[in-house]
Amino acid sequence: MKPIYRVLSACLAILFAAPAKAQSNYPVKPIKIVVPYAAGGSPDTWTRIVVKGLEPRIGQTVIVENKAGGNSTIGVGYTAKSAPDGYTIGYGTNSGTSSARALFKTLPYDPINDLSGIIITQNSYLALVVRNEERGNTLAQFLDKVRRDPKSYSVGSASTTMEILNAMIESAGKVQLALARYASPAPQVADLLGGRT
Amino acid sequence: MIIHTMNAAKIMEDSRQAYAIAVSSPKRLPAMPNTPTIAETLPGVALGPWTGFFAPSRTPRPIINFLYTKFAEAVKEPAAQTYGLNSGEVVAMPPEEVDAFVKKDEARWMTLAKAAGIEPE
Repeated sequence: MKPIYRVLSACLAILFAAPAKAQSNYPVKPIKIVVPYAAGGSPDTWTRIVVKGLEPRIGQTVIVENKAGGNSTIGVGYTAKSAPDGYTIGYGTNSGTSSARALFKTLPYDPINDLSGIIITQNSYLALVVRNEERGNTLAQFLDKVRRDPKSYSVGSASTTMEILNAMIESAGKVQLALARYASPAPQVADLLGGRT
Repeated sequence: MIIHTMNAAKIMEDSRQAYAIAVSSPKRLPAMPNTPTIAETLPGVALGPWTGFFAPSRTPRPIINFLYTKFAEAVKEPAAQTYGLNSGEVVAMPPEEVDAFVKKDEARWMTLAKAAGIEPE
């Protein structure tokens, strides 16, 4: 056989073999999903709910691993730098991807190009939560209180989206809302209920 | 004050643990019909995260497509629908659309952050 035909038939063999190999050989072992927020919060709860529906459909265990910090950039960065073999994937929001560079100049990963999207599953929203003593006050009244005594109020948040929302409220409401960044919601809630924020 | 996800805020409000004073959706959501939106007080102030799942960028395309199909089915389960609808909407954007969307989306956040006075640190 002429060398060129040997090369061509080898190429054809590879072309036809590769996709079939990927489909029948994956997954053959458990998959890890990295949640870049602490256990118990919404990202973690949502992921675990989705995993319950995922496992029987892929025929393998899916292990959820929490890696919180840096408005999710630590966990998303970990996913981005993992072996691209389908056995490490991660939960991600705009915080760790499209809005990461709005807050962070340097990151250990490229939040746009180091990741491939599998799916976007939710458009979700946030809420402003205050202590029960404020019940009955409108947001307008609450912001009035803050304007009169900015030092007595602070804001806790645990994501980039929350930080940007806070800044939008400050700008539109002409009010100062001193923001403290939390790695995850639980200590933020504890501080709210304990009167520390 | 804390800024929280709507799911968590709903739980705190329903149990009277704290007071959900406003939500960040453009219109009131069925899950919390008695809580005003921020926009009702501050017109135009509405914002929320989108959420999804990602793989390292060199993950083979057949694997990504396989995972997409399975995830799309999994979010149709009643438990996922209930939880998801408590904080917004449940969708199933496919992989190529996600990549294109994320690239375009960065400009929006940069503009929002800058307009709100946030500088990257």
